[in-house]
Amino acid sequence: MNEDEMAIAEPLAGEELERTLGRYARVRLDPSQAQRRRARSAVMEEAWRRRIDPTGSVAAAAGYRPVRRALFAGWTTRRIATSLSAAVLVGLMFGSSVFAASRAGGPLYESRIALESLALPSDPSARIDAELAQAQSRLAEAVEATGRGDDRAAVAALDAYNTAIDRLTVAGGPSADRAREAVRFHRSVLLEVAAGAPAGAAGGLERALENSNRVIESLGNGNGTPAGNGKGTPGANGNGTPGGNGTPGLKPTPAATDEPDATTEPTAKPGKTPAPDATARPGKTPDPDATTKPGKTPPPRKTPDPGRPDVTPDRGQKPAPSDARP
Amino acid sequence: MTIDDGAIERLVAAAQQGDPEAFGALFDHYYGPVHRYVAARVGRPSDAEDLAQLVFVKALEALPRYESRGIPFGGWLFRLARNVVIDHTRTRRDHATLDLVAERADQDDGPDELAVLRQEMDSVALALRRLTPEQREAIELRFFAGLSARETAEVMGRQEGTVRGLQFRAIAALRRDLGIEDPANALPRVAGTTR
Repeated sequence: MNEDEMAIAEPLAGEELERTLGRYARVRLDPSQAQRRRARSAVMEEAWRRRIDPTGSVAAAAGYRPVRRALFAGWTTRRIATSLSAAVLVGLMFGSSVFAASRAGGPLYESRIALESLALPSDPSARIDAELAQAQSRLAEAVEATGRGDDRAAVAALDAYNTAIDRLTVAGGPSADRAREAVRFHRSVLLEVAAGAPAGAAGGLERALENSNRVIESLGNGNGTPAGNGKGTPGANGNGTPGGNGTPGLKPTPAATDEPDATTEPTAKPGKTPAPDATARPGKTPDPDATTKPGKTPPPRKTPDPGRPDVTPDRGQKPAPSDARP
Repeated sequence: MTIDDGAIERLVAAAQQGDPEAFGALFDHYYGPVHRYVAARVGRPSDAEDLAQLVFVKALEALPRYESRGIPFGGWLFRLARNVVIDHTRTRRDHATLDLVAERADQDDGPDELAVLRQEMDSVALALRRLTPEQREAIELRFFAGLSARETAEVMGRQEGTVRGLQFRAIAALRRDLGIEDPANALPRVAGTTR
């Protein structure tokens, strides 16, 4: 029989060979009844379990219990990176909006000012410095808002500035001097800004100038020294900055014309103040004639020159015993 | 229990719908053949029991994805069994031979009958081991598992004619080794007269 015939014919083992193979299978390959029962029971248990829980698996049939996974345990690196990027983006957006809202004229501006005030130190000297820094910041915000032409922000910043310098009036001693000099400088800046300020901010600038003038006077009086009483050093009037009180550049400005006294008073006082009395002079320069007056303290005795033994002592004085010896 | 192909398809459809009793009926029908096939392949009785059970658990798992597509359920199930045996063979090397398998003879058999039976079984086992792997698998699937030539071809991944050729040569070798000479009863018949 060739290959084709074998392929189409049904090969028969024959009765004897089939009986032999059947007996072999029955004796050595057939499962026992116990094996069949065990296998059926396990398989049917799994079948019923799957009917109850269709997601059950072979592992579940073998006693496998799913382990509770930790939070974010299934997150991949890519997912974590995406989430972090989203969180950073949201944080930046939120921070930017809060920052924008807390700028001068923003809805959170007053809240920010209030928070800054809460953070002021309790030590009087340090507190004055911090309040000066706050006033300086408000002034900078006002200048920046004026430059932008933002009237609302400028007025808000100037109002905050007025509030800040009002707190300076309680200063005394060296702190008051520092505060006064700083407010003077602020005033010069305000005058400079007023020249090119938009109309909407003119009112705020005017109030700030008036207030700064009042604070300067208050600080001067509170310190026991009149404003500009001889301490009107060049630094007070314009310590390297343009303007300063009474500088020619400020006179034509409207604010300067509104307050002529304020612009002239501080600079005039140092010039008017005469030199103090001469009580200190005798101590500094001794009188050359004092040594010749007999009634006064004799001059110190000169040490005899060893090279001149014939020198006589002063009149009316006995020679020293050591000098009388031969 | 003997059920026809139509009944098997209905049981498969019911089992796919989640009917455990339908799957139980399929288990009852196929467990014996599957166990015989697995036992013939792995030799060790304990392994055969575990693997046969695993075949049905895997069938339970894969049954929702089963589509007939002209492939009989028996062929699909024995392909699962074949893969399970292959996986087992790859992981375990210490296979017991069929000679070590405990024999289940009739309780009425006496010592002499048992001795004769053992000798006969040893001869069959030896003859089977002398076959080529493909011939031996064709015999295991056709005679021990009771599959048709088409199902056997499906399981082995070969053409049906190839399976018939393997079976023909395997039968001839077994007859020769076992000293069985009955050519009159072993005349080939035209395909299709049997399953």
